[in-house]
Amino acid sequence: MLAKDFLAVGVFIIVGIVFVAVTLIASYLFRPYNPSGEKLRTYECGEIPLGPAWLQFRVGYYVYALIFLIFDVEAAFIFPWAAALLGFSRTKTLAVLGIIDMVIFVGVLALGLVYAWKKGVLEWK
Amino acid sequence: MAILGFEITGYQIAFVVLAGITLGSAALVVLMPNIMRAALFLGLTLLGVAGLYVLMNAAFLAAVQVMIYVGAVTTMIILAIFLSHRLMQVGFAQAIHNPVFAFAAAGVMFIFLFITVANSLWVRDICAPGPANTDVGVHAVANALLQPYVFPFELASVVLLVALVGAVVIAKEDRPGEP
Repeated sequence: MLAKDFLAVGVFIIVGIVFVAVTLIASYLFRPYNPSGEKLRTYECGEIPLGPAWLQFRVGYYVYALIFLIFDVEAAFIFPWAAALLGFSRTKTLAVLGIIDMVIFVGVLALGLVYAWKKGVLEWK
Repeated sequence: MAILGFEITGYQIAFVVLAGITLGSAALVVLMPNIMRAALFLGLTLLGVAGLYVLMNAAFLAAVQVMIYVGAVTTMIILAIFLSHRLMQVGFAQAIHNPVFAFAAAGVMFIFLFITVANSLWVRDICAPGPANTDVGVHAVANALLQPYVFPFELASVVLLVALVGAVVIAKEDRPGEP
């Protein structure tokens, strides 16, 4: 049963949550509590922070996120293909066809990357 | 293990816990007054769905769920919040402006899902009771992609290409007005 293989993942998640909770509760119980304005200020590498952290970011970031999403989906397709290609190596024609399939798939997306590159979207100005 | 006379397996406990996480965080997505926290709870909801996929023996689907939905889509939503000035500044209270329409939409969605679930052929109907016995793993998906569904598979790359070009076009339009 496959779900049993994921028991380790479940145990890992539970141990992770318990570890963080125990650490935070223990430090809450044992630490001295003596706040002042200086201590409560957001720590920003020793600098005094300017303005709130909740401000508008540059739109330029969004293109990177979109392109990342697209290539993430591409990776989701490549992963099963790579795992199954080993099984295909028994019959040569199937293996060659499998590789051609993926070359076309990646080629079409590479076209998009070249387009984005040419248009200068990937440059940080 | 038996509780109140019912025989309860670890599988059922895992299902209840995962379903609870999924539904609870989904409710928090709707109820959180702060949209940033709502977005983070959406990530937890999607993670719970990934756990449910694991219980259904679809480990590959779970991996894709974590990679694309938890990893990329949630990041995109959070970035979209970062980029929109108003959502970050003002306390963005989520309110139902038209309860009748909201209930109607939710009801239609429920009926649609209920019909789908009721008409689906579940593994339980084919195999022995208990968790799924069939392999819905990487190899099954890859074989389907490379043999009967080669054309849709290649078409997917064209769809992704269109999305990529669309992103570039939108980004180009934003260029002059950028700070």
